Amino acid sequence: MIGFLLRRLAWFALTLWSVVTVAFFLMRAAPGGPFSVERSLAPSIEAALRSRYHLDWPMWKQYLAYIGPFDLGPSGWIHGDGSHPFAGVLSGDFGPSFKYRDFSVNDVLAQSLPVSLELGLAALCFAVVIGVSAGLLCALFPRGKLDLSLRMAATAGIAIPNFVLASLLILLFVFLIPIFPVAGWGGPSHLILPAVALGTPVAAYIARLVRAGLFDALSQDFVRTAVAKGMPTRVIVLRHALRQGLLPVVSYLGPAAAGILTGSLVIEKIFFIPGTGQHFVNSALNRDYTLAMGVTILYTALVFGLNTLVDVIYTLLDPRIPLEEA
Amino acid sequence: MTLAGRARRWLWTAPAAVLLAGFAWAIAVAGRSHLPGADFTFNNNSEVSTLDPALVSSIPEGRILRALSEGLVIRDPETLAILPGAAATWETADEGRRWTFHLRPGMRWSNGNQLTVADFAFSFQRLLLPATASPYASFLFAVVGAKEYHAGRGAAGAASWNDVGIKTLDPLTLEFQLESPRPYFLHLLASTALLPVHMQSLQAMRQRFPDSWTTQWLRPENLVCNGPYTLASRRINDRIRLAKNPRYWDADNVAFESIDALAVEHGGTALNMYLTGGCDWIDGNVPPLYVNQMLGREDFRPKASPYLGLYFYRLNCTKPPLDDARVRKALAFTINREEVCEKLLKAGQEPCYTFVPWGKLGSYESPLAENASVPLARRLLGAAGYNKDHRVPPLSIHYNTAESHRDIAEVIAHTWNQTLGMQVGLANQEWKVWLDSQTRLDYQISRSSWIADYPDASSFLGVFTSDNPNNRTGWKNAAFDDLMARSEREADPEQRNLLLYKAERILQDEMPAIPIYSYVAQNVVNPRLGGFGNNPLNEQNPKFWYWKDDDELWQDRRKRVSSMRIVDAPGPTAGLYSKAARKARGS
Repeated sequence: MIGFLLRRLAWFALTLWSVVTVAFFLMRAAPGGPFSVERSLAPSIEAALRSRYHLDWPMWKQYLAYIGPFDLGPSGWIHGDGSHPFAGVLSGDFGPSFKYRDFSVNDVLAQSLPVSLELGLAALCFAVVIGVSAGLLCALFPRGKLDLSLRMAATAGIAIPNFVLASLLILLFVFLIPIFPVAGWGGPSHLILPAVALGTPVAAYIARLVRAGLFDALSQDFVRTAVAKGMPTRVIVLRHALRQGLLPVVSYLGPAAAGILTGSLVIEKIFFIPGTGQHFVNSALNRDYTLAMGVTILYTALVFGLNTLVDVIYTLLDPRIPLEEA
Repeated sequence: MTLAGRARRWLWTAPAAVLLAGFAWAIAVAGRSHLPGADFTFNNNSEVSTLDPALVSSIPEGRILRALSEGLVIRDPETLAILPGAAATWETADEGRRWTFHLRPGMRWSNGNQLTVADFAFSFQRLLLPATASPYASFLFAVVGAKEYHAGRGAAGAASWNDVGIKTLDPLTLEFQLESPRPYFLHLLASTALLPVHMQSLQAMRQRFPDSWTTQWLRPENLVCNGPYTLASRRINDRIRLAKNPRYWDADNVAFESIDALAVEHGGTALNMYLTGGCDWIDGNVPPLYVNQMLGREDFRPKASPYLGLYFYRLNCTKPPLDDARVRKALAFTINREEVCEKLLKAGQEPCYTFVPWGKLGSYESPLAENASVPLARRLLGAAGYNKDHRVPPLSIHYNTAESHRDIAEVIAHTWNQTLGMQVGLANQEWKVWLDSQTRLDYQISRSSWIADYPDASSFLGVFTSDNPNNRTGWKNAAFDDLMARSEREADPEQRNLLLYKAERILQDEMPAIPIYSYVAQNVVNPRLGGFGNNPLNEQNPKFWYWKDDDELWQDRRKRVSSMRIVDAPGPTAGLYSKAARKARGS
């Protein structure tokens, strides 16, 4: 187990480094910059701003400065002219945000990530509970009316884009039956509609995976043995078959959770939620180099971490799968 | 069963337990982070980029800054007339070249420090310092020596603050020495760039946080301000909470104890929030789809709210065929602006033929546009050497990705095709790419807009001087530059208007850009809100806001045209008035 995790950690460092490098140069290759605004700055002012953020340095130097606390400038990188220098990602400092100029990238992420985690967890719970129950029902009563309607619902859930679903939910539960606030972030009541909108496609996907997985498991020998031994159906399904039927769900949930926990631009826009999702798109549009890098690193770490977790859970669910090969 | 086996048997339920625990946590945290509602909530359209007045550049920041700070003078929200702010009185001498301001005695910052002219002088010096890199340093360039100081050179070689014509005569008296009279100097002083910052706390923060003072001094716990409100809390992309500043000199005239400024970017969401009582004022952004439904409501009156904004097309005057003024004019003469305004925009925007929106601003009136017609446009094209056999090469309109820009460009391209037989393509670009190609003159026709910095015609005409970085058309005209420069120095308002008039004439004759329509302000505002001004800058001052009681609300409704649809006016039926107003009303 320890060896496995250490190996993973090494791979993680390598992956992160390549992602950071590619993202760094891609960001800077895009036309325009953080200081191009509609009301143009005088050239001298733009030059002053660029030098404050060291954008006038050669690219390799900017890259090294971004990566780590190397002393590069004649005035010293760490303690320059008081113009908000930063220590580099290796020391956990993602630098100042270009767009939210009163905040550092660390501030922006520290404020928005808990919101996204909160919403994401609620959405995940909704998705798992609804998805697994629906899948279970489908597998237990295959090809019946219930199965058919649930499968249709699942297909619809995958096919309907979340902004359409969000608008429908708002129309239904805000304007027709006014029980939820239309948008905003604060009380638990603000959580429900966005969590449902965010979780529905995942629930639908899980339902299909559970149905297929369980279907497969129920026709296997160990189930037949259990039935022959006179085990109650509840125990067979919940303890034995479901454990195997959930395997595909678990492997799907890793990356899906990373996506859900980091938020969604569309949902955050429609429900006015101060989460991380919008930063993924807006930081690139704003050429907020540092914030874009910050969210990229965050996402990479989450995907990698959750995938590792999935591999560990895998061996717990099915002891036949060795950890080393996962 | 072994212990490991037993553990393994139950371990697989761990993820489920984690999920459930997470859910419980989510609900608990959601309950805790809830902020009780403010007395007044409005949508500020986007997250402010900074609260540093020297660096602020757009409208959302201005709304917050006007609550937090007060400059020497302020503007009346209804008429935009200059009112005393931190300065109680002022006088001008030497034909408008010398201005002396007298501060109110006994004013205090929110931390209790005395507010003196030293704070103002410090703030102005900071604005001009090259290291501040303020985009608005030019607002002080009328002051003797300011331009040189900003460029880092003074009379004796190195820049010296002593050479700049801003002098503190005593703790309450501040004097400006201008190079030439500026009729709009008071309006510049009322702008957000010239708001004061608290000298001591800025310097203390610099000492305490040498690495991060630029952000530290603006945090709610550190920001010291002199306006009607203080910064209570701030969450990115959510809200800024403002709390009444008890140390503000005119606190008795401030009604609301707390104000929330939301950062809703999505127009539909903002409107939904307004309609369900989630906020009391939203500005702009009413999705065109809903404009028809909203028109006629008493809380949405764009047609009565002209706004100093101009929608226009920049033309690249450096490349053929648009380097020929005749071609540019032919294009300008054939645009069907009425169709754009009435069929696409619908909210009362006016077709515009002048470079100053609405054709007039204060005492200035734009020259009447040439009587344009399609035959005239065709003749102009012919004179430029284009005819049936020798067609104008294909053109393309660049716009930043947005539905409304695309619709307008489609209509215009179609018109040019129908009337002049031109091939006009559309090219949409992501915002920064579009800005970049405009700056590099890598376009033929490019969608643009401009909003007044201060209510004066020069704010619009000045864009097209040769050295203005906002020109972005490649058009240079020495006669125009000369007229604009002379208008800057002219003291007599009538003479000055004449110079500006002549300058705009040249623009109309040369057409480096094509005006298309004038903006309207699209406020949707709770009818109960009092002190909300309908002015062409759409500039509001939170100091004046209050809730009307039912009596006052109905009196106001009676005064207005009766054809308007009465809508809900949520809020306290007994109103919410300032202490001074309550006294005056005898309650």
